[in-house]
Amino acid sequence: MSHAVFYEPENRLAKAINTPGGKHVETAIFDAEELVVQAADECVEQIDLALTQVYRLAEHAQSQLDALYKAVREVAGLAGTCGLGDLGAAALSLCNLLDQAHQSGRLNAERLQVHLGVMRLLRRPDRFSETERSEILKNLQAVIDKGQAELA
Amino acid sequence: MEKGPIEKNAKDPSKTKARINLERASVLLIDNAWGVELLARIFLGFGSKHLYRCCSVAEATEIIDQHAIDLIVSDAMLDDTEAYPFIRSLRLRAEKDPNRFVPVILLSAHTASRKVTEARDCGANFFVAKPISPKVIMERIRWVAAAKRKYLETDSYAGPDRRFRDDGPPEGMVGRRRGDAKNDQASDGAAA
Repeated sequence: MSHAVFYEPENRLAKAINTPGGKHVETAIFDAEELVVQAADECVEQIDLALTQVYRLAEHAQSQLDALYKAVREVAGLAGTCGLGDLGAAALSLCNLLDQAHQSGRLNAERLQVHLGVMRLLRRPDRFSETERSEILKNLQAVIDKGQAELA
Repeated sequence: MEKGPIEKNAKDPSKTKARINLERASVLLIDNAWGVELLARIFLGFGSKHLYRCCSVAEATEIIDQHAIDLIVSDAMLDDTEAYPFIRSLRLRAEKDPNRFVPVILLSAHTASRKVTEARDCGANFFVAKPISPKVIMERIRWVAAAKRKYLETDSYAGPDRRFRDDGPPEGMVGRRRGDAKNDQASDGAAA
């Protein structure tokens, strides 16, 4: 029989946050959003740094798969925070492509280039209408679905 | 380079008059340099006053060894390594260690398919997909604080009980959990 022990520890977080004082939840969220918005310029700078790294690593993608994945993941995690959600979605799609490459042991260079091209385009989202951006991302998903089907 | 438009969540996402006091809670934030800055901004906005910030498992371990922490918010992939082994090691600390049962919210922009099992089994309380927003972080903090989940230690897993619901044993089966008999009696009583 397998061993299983249950514990019911004191929830210190609950005790701390329920002490009198503090802020209304609504106010706390609003204040936090204000501080995040103030950092938007820095956030975009970080994305651009990560993108530069992505394009550099992509030149030797097969041998730099893990580093490339890490850099793309950085873009995926940050872009939505500073109004570049579609770029983030494209980066997430590239994460999936690199994940597929890890599973199969082979990176499809054409699909990689398609993703890099789309990321370059979506870095300037104002150049496209919402419908166009949505269409671009839909086609990118089709690229990933094709790769997934090949893996199965 | 041109910057993208900033969309601020103008509407009240919580629709609640509830209060939250993070002034006394010790919160450990772990992410890369920029990520931890962003998290710190969110928690400062929430009113936090005891924030520990670090970018690596080595630094996080040092902090955990010296301070009692009430909440950890960490990216799953850190500068030096992944966070999963760190969370697992936390859950295996001595029973009296104040940080053994600390709630952990893990953040991740993408989880590689080969890491899904490791992520599931590391002992974190919740996963939050990046990009993060103050609203989602707030929801998770309140959820973690309100949760009455027990902590479980088995041969292969240590961490919060992953079963969110207890619907009792399957129909027609005799319950094997300690609480099942009580549930049976309760439902019998209700039927009578």
